[in-house]
Amino acid sequence: MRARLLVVLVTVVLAAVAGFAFPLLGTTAEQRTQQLVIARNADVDRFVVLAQQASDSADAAALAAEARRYAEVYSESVLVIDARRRVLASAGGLSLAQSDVSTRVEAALRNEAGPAVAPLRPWSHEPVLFARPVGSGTRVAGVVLLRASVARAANDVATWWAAIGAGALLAAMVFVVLAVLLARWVLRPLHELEGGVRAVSEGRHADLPATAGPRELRSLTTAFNRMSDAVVSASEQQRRLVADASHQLRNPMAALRLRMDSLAPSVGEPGQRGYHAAVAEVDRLESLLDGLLTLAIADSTATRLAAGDHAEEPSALETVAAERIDAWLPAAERAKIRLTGESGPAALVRCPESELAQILDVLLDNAIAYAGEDAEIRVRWTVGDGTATLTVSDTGPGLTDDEISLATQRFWRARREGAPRGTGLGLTIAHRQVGSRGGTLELRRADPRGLAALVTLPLAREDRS
Amino acid sequence: MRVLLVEDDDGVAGALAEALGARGHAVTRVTRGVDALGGHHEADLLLLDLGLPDIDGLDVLRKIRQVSAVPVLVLTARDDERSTVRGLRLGADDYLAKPVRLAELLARMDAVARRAGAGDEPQPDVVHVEDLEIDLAAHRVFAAGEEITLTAKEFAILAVLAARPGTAVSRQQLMDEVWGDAHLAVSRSLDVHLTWLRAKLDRPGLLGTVRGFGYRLGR
Repeated sequence: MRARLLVVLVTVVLAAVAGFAFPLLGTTAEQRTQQLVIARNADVDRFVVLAQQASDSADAAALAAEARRYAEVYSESVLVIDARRRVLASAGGLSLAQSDVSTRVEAALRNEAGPAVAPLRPWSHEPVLFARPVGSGTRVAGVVLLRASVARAANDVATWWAAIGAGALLAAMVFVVLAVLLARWVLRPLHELEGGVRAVSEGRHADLPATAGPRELRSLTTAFNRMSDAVVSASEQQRRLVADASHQLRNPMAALRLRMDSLAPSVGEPGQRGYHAAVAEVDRLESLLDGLLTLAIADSTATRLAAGDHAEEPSALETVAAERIDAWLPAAERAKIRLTGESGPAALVRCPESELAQILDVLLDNAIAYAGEDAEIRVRWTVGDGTATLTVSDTGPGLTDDEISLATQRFWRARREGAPRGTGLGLTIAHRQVGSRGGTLELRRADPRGLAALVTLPLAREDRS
Repeated sequence: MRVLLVEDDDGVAGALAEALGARGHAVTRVTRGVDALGGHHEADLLLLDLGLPDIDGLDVLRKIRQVSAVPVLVLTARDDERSTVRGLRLGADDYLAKPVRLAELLARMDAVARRAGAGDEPQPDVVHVEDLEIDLAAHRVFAAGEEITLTAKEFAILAVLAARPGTAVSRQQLMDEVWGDAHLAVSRSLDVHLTWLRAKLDRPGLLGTVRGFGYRLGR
């Protein structure tokens, strides 16, 4: 839009300047030509009078002297001939032998007017020939020819034209600058609105300045700010509700857990089954609560980071991976699964240690829960162009393509025989956390079987010191 | 053991008081931070909630630490890393997030009380953690009776952790005690040594990470 607006404005500006400058060029050239013609005609007239006197007195000496002096002073040629084409006076090298001269002489003797002098241009250099018959009425007694140099007049035209050109250029520049300023003034609020839309889509307040630009856009900006505040506060409230609810539930959960644990010794044989089932439900409730809170935190982290807060420490992928593998080995052993980590290159990723650990925990937990006995889980990572990719792959039953597309949705669980009932939040949280750090989490089918989870995170610049 | 329970939630306080009472602890319950500041002299151990109605629990902790070394176990609904780290830095002996299992709570309370009581006693030369035997004097480590060969640095790290089994030791402290210095290169080096140490011990999960704070030997 900016380019088009500028093209239109600049075209109009240039057309206006050109429309003003070109006629001016023509007028100045014509004026100077006119001056030249008038001045030379006066000279020619004088010679005509002198030639008349000479023919009357039959003495051309005075005329010849005058012509010589004229040629000396002005460096222009004069030729005077009588009706019988005899040279009465010649100075400066004009001669009847020259074709243009003889043509003009013949025309003048027939009392024909010469051609009009073409308007001068800065590059004109052909001398102009003036011819005038001597005598009055139909009796032509001779011809006065004057060859005038146009060099000075052309120089004057060049000076004028240069001045006009410079003036036009200056005016064009001023107008173009004005056009650019105008375009900026109109478009800046629009650019800011664009930034505002991005901010709102990332869950931030737009807070656009409504002080610049046309009045209509200013009121649009104000309205937009109000809308962004409403949107952001709505999503903020939703997040806070989840966070507060899961936080508030912690106390009753803690009391319930302690009561259940205290109850354990006093539960009799018949009640054991029911008691353990109840404890399992409490476990489930606890992990659901933790999951919801973590998800709410991950959401608010995404908002905070989108707002440009990158204060957190990066973490060393190899260290966290090694440590999480160590922590999950007992669980893997209990599930009769082989968990191995391949050491890869050192990678400092832009994600705090605790979150990277949480992401890995989700992936390892899922793999151990669903891969099944005798499966193998492998953790490895590679460093690419500005990113590190961590892969957790298993040789379990895997997921179908449909299931993979659903897996990162809230509360989705794989329906598998004998699989543990999870909260359905793990992958959602991991997905959110990776996303908030500018990375991606991708699930795909592993080769030849099983599931592979690929976490790609941006590398931190090595300036931690 | 006389336990001062600082907790404003009646449900949690009731359950805790009953459970601890059943195990022979004398529990006094207060709901406000001011009462905790006044009552900690008569307690062997403080169970401190952070979300108190009058003063923030962390402020209570800070004020108590200025005058007393009584063992404090923070038990709170705030389980984010920042609160955990701040709690431990302000002098809490341990930090547990609600909900907590009773068995774990009792074990942590015992560990905290034992350490507080053992403060004046000389360090034992041999530390046992599960089937791990760490001979601090002879610089030798046995796992299930078999000796494990460690480098000097690896042993130094293990020794610092073994001197306080079950306690979270901050990274800073580890680096200070092992390297006598704590700059960036050392920080990376610590990660590497810990990875090796874990591999050599081959006791997954025994050497745990306290996120954002440091490490703990023992499950």
